Amino acid sequence: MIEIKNLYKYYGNLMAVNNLNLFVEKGEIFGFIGPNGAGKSTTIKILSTLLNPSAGLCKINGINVVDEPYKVRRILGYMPDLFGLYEELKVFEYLDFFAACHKIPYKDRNAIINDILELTDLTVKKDSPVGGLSRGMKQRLCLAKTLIHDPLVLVLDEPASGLDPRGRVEMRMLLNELRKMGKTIFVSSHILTELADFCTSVGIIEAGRLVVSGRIEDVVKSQGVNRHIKLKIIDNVELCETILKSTPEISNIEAAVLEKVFTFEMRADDQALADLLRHLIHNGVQVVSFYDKGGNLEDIFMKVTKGQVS
Amino acid sequence: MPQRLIKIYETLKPAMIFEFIYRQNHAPLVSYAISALAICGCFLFGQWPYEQEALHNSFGDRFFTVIMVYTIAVATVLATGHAALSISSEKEKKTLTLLRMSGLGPGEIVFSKAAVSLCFTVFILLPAAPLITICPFLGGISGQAILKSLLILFVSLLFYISAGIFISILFKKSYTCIAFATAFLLILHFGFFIIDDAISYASGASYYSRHNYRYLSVFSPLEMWRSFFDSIQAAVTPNYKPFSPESYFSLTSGESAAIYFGAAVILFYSGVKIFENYLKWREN
Repeated sequence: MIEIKNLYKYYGNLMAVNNLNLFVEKGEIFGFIGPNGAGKSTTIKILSTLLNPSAGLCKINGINVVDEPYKVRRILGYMPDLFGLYEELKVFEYLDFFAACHKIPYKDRNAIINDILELTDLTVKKDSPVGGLSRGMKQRLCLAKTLIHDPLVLVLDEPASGLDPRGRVEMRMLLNELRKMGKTIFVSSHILTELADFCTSVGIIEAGRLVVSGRIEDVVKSQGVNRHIKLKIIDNVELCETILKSTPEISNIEAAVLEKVFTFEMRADDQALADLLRHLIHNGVQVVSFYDKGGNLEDIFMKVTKGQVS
Repeated sequence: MPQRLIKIYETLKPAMIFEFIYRQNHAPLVSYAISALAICGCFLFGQWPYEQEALHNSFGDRFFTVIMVYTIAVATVLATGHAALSISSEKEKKTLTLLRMSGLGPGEIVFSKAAVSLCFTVFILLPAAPLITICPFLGGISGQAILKSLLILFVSLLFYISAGIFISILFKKSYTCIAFATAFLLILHFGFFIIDDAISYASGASYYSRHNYRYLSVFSPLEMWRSFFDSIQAAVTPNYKPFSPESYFSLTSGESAAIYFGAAVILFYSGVKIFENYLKWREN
């Protein structure tokens, strides 16, 4: 669905993107991770046809973004990191304006806008002025605008930046909804925990160069990074501790005896985790929850990056 | 020395007021006012038809002249200013990216912005319409001449709006666009006269003379309107002898309007053509 080959971008003498190669399959949520100044926004602008690359190929759904930008824009929804809104308009009017820009027939607009307002949880704000919305609502409104023409691909540049914790959770839920709808989502962020929960694959970029990419499990495996597991049980604390300590792949076990919660790191794939859980239950440990915290993305990031910028 | 400093401070004080008004987001208002004053100054400067006796034939043509001068001045400044702010303000509000990604092509964006500026200017000028339309009833001017003047005004508006939009595409900040639009108007209206006068002066003429040889000033909108008002006077005044300085060639108001229409089309087309590539280039 998204294909980037040997992509270069120079700003004068500064190399912002250096031989970037990526492939994102249909229906994936691709997390594009990197520190500030790594070249994320430049890549996203090239993907969104707002910037021409210095060299290389960029295709969305088989359409070259340089040769046919207007065709690409019809199937792409782009949400920039910094965006303005027509604050004097009402929420409905705002979406109606962009629906008209996308040449959606007048008779269909009302239903489409209502559906999108419901999806983005903005129905109650339908008649409110855009200027009076909170930051989180404005982000959601911008996402609603991005969805108005039902794009195949969503390119979101730091969609949760500046949001409070609640806003982030809501944004994450919304992106998960979109994933279920079959959209291919390319999302950039430097907040790793934000991405770990819902991305199916990731790419880490530093100083314009892609240092690692692939499906999260594969990346975790290839980088040999431990998985962070949180385990809550009802009883048999000693037995549980014994089992964990006897498993060679497990390290850094921390036990909160009163709460009956264990946290530990484990170098393992999904099968090994399932085996461990089965083993615990088989030995009479009553498990309440067994949760992969996903903090490993942070470990991978720290392992593969050196803190360089373009 | 302190006296001198106080004097400089006193001189700069109005500029500080303007700065304040700018901060209150009323930049266009200030620019309009300055531009309107400058254009009125031009008329007073003496480029307007000076055969005063011809203007006293009747009331209608004099009334029409007064209203039209006001209308032309306001239309010129408003159309250029509004168009110059149209795309730059979208850039400043960071909404242009959303517009570009909204499925609209550059032609649609530029045309829409031009249409908005045209509607805005026409709307502002509407109060002058009844005043203009009563002029034929007051004598001294025909309805046909009024229609011709409105047609020339419309073509001028297209030119000013195309120029304003072009400026708006080129620059990022609204105040830069307004500054360039103002400079453009001043150069277009007065620059050609100054160049002609400079050439004449270099050729041995007195520093300023209305009878200096004309080179470029035939292209000034002031000359177009002078030619038009001369034609009105010629129609109602027996033995009317219009002011006609020497020049390589002269243009009737209709010919000038046709040139401005052509220029408007070229500017509009260029604006559409460069829109996307220029914005991408600016990103670099």
